[in-house]
Amino acid sequence: MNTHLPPRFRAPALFAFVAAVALAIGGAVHGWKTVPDVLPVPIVVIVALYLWGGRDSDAGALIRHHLDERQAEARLKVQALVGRVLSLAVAAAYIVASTSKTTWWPWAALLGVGMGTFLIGWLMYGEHRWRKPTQHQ
Amino acid sequence: MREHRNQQGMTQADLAVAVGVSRQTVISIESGRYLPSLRLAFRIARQFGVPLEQLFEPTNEEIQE
Repeated sequence: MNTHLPPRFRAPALFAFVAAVALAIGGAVHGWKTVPDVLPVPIVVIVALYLWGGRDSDAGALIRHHLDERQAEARLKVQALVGRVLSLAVAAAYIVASTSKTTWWPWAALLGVGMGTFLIGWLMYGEHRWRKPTQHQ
Repeated sequence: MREHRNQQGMTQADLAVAVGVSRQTVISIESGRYLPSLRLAFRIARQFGVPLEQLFEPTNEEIQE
């Protein structure tokens, strides 16, 4: 789908698709009368993504998925920050849930996903990736 | 880098297109806020036809980062 769309339309189209699915699920579960109440939110986001995506800025490049090395480095740092904050939030939620004796296992599962992803990431991008085959002299 | 760009009569946007980065990145490099990768640094040096060390002379602090 993405390859046929101009870069500026990709993020709005992806968000429109996700929003349509979410609205369909929400409408089916909570009733279709609730859909018009929340519909303005995705419309505003889609228009904002389209307008921002056309700007000659770092945010525009991010929305168009057309990043150079500096912008990609910035995105990587932001993603790392998001990962750290989410990990801490999940750990805190797990502690609160287990001490208050409420349902704790979803938080434990999310912590497990985080740790598993770290291990997979280390295997994919860790030191062995940079190690050259042993050279015999 | 700005001097070399001006000597060649290029705008920041021209240089950005020539070396395949955004205009904002050219601005960041020229203002010293971003130290480019070796790959990009070589592309810029070749664009101007000068040795790398003539374009980039990072401070000790930048190297230690």
